[in-house]
Amino acid sequence: MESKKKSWPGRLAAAAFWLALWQWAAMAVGQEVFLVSPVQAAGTLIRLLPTGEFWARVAFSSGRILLGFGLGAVCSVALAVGARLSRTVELLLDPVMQLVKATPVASFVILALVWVRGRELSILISFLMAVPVLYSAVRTGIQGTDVQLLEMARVFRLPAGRRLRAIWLPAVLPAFREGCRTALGLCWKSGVAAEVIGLPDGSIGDALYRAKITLSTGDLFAWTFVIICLSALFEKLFLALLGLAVRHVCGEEEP
Amino acid sequence: MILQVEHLTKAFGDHLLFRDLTFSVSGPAVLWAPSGWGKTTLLRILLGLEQPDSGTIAGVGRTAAVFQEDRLCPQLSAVENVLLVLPDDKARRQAVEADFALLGMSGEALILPAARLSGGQKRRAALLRAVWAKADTRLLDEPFTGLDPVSMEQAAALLNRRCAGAPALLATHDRAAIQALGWPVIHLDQLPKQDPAP
Repeated sequence: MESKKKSWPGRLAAAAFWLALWQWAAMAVGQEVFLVSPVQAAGTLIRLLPTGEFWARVAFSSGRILLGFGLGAVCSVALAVGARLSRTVELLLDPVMQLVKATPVASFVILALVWVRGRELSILISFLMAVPVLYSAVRTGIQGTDVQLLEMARVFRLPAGRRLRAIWLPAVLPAFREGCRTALGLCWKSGVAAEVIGLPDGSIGDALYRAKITLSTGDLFAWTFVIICLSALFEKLFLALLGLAVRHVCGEEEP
Repeated sequence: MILQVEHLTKAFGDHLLFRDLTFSVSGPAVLWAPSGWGKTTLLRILLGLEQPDSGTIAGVGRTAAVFQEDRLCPQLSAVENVLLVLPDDKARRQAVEADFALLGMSGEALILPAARLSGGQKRRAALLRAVWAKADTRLLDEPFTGLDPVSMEQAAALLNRRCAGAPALLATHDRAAIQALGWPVIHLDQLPKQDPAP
């Protein structure tokens, strides 16, 4: 805890250094179209914040990206359990997961535009980005489950609910939480990228695209900053909730 | 209930552990054999965790065990580990805690997660779990490992009270434990070989 507190002045100093460098570079370039200064970007953000349109865009994109992530989480847990129970399911899923992981987001976006409307595109893309990461995380957790404890549960004929709570969840939750950390970041990046290509009205991606075609570099930086903040905020919130769950199930010592 | 083992044979590859093992018990008994004879494997077969190469087992029913390792859920306390295997877990907490007190465990030791208990404390929790679980047969593999002589005497006394009247097999080569228990001893390495039934 103490080391975390100590690191704050260092972090602030690093941030101040990069902001100063950015300000200096913007002043050196001297053209807002190419590079806005942090002061100008902050000014744009302050102008956007009180508008209803800003919050509507935030709600639109956040809702869809998080919905895709949530569906992906549920689906990946179900698939990982299926793979644990059936070797056939595992064999069938492995190449699909590898394929989804390796396919570029842009290919998915363009292909997905054929299947779904632009408004739903970021749900599908977030879902596709979350599934392989979380599937792999849950499988790692399942594979790391203590075999000796499973034998104990079998000998004592523990009911399924108790096995889940006492043996499976403590093994899977920490791995799932790490997976969520990676997947949430991916979902935000790919979800907004999908919106930039699909251009659904009222999305953050649409705002980014408009900033590009109108050469409003200030808006571009402001919206990018908003995406970073939203991604970090939801990651912190979600991980805090999962951390509570892990502590509740695993006790004070997280494995 | 009588636990019957007939003509049990087990080998791992070319290494024969035991052949044509036949015995029966209706109450508690100690399984004695030198180290490496295959006591743990025999208990695992009786628990249904391994298959014999040949032979039959009857009358095992529902089992409870102390394994060679403690096999406690590390995030649960000693008491919670025992309650985990009981159907009416909440109603039994006080009685379980009283048994822990009999074995010299109370206060903080009952609250700490099992991961933070000493070897001897973990062993006591594993032992009480097997004692409290609803079972037709109890199979106890070196249950006194890591216990000091006084704790071992207390644990043996508890086993004597709780395991009477039902099959219980306790594998050990600790002569002090055998003496403390006073159970009949089955010398596995000296059992007469019996011809399989035609």
